[in-house]
Amino acid sequence: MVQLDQYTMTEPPCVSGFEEPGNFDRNATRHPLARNLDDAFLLGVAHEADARTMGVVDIGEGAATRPTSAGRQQQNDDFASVLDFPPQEPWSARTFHALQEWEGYVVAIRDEDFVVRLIDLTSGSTNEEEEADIPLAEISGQDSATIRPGSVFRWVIGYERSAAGTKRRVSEIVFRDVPEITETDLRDSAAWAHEAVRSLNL
Amino acid sequence: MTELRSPPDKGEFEFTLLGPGYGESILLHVGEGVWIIVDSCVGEDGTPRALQYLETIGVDPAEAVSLIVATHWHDDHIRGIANLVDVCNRATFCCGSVLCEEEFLTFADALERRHPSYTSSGLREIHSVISRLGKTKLQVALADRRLFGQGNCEVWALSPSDQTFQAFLRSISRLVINRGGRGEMRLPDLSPNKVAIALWVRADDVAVLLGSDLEKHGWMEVLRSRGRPTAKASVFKIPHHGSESAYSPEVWEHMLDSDPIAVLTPWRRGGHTVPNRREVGLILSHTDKAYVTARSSSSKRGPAGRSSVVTRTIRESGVKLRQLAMSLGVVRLRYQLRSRMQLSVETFGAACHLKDFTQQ
Repeated sequence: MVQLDQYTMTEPPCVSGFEEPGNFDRNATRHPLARNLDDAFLLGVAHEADARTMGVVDIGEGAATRPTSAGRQQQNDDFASVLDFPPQEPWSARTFHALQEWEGYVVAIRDEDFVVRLIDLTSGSTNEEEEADIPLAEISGQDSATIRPGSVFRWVIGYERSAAGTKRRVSEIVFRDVPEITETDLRDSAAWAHEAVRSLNL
Repeated sequence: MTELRSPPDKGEFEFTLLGPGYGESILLHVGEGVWIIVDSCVGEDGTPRALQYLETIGVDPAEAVSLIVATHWHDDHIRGIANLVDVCNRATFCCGSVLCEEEFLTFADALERRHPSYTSSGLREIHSVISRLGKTKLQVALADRRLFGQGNCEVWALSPSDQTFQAFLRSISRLVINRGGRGEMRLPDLSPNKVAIALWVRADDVAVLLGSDLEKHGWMEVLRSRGRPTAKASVFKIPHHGSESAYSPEVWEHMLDSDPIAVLTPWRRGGHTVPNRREVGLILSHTDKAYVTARSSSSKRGPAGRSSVVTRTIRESGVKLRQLAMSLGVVRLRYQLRSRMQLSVETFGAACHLKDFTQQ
């Protein structure tokens, strides 16, 4: 499982527009297969390796480790040696323009929907000022089965423009995995707690 | 009726309940310029409302605040409390014993380290406070413990009981063992209401009962206690936003004067508002002098400038979106100590009499 927050961007090739969150633009000429590999990778980052939705890429405040350009070239060459690819086409811009982003968490799950609290990231709010009932049909079956009160997600609404120029509105809810608390974590936390209590002089 | 910005006299008791619609904070002036803050909520810029209020009435919090109490770690009661502790650097900080136990802090720290989220959690706030308490004086609360005394003022904790406290610690241990896996949580599966600190505060000849979010079981333990102060209170901060889950007629009968002043902050969840009509009726059956910091209809306006495309997409996807926060309201009570006069009641902003709570 790929965890967005654990990765560090080592190289931003082929992806521009980072200065404008939620809006990126690839101008480089790429092989179609390599493009798909990139898509899968990016979707894997944003969607926890669940590439059920194409086109919505949350590049928000997190950043991702991606294959280096040299590594990708080697990868492409390897494929090219065994497959007969069609001529390369210019990779036209496939963009996503976020109009609205929230971060939220689940407070209750009901038969047909779930109740969430939302922080409006677009307006820069730091408080949960909105609440929503979201139909369970809006999320994947896997998410429906695993969400629980407290689960954290990102909800983005915006426009996606495909490589062919088609524009469509997209509403995407992406749940986050919080890494398991390991034995090591617990040991570290226990050490901190021990020191904290000692310093409190109770 | 005075202006909001007028401070109390030195010989005047003040009880002020701040309710921005989500969260609550109580300020008490117990005389001689001594202030106590119970719980915290923040304004839109993240500043604790209590600090904003003190600034409004011209009081320096660093000099005047002697005690800060975090009754429990629900984020509608604790937001901004780390900031309060920083600013009010002469104050004693008081929280539940459980928050200073290694088991609890281990759990809070483990979550804090592994929690990549904008959404706040009360645990994070507690972690933040404990991390930087430094030289701040700390007082832990358990039932029947006198937390604070200065001049003619005393503050007592009425809960949680030892028994509840021990049970809670065991539940934390189980959570630590069982945690992990997908979609793990922002907050743990344990209700801090069980270990919420209800307070009894006396300033000279006036006493107030602050119910925090203590629920029925907790009140039964309080009522059974033989170690708590027995003087009846004339002001009641209704527990748990007036929810029936915290309603105990015995508390009204045995711990409060007849016809006390009752105050509360409302709360919203899942499209429902607390208190509902039935719960309003229960409170008004005990006193006519009941006040709330906001009307149920007093929602803040949604964010300005949200695109119509966004609104349309929300509508078409079947999502029902509603504003959670209500408008800011303030209920303020004042009383000239030893005057035997009635407490004065003032409401500001969205605050109103409880009878008007559900009116449009």
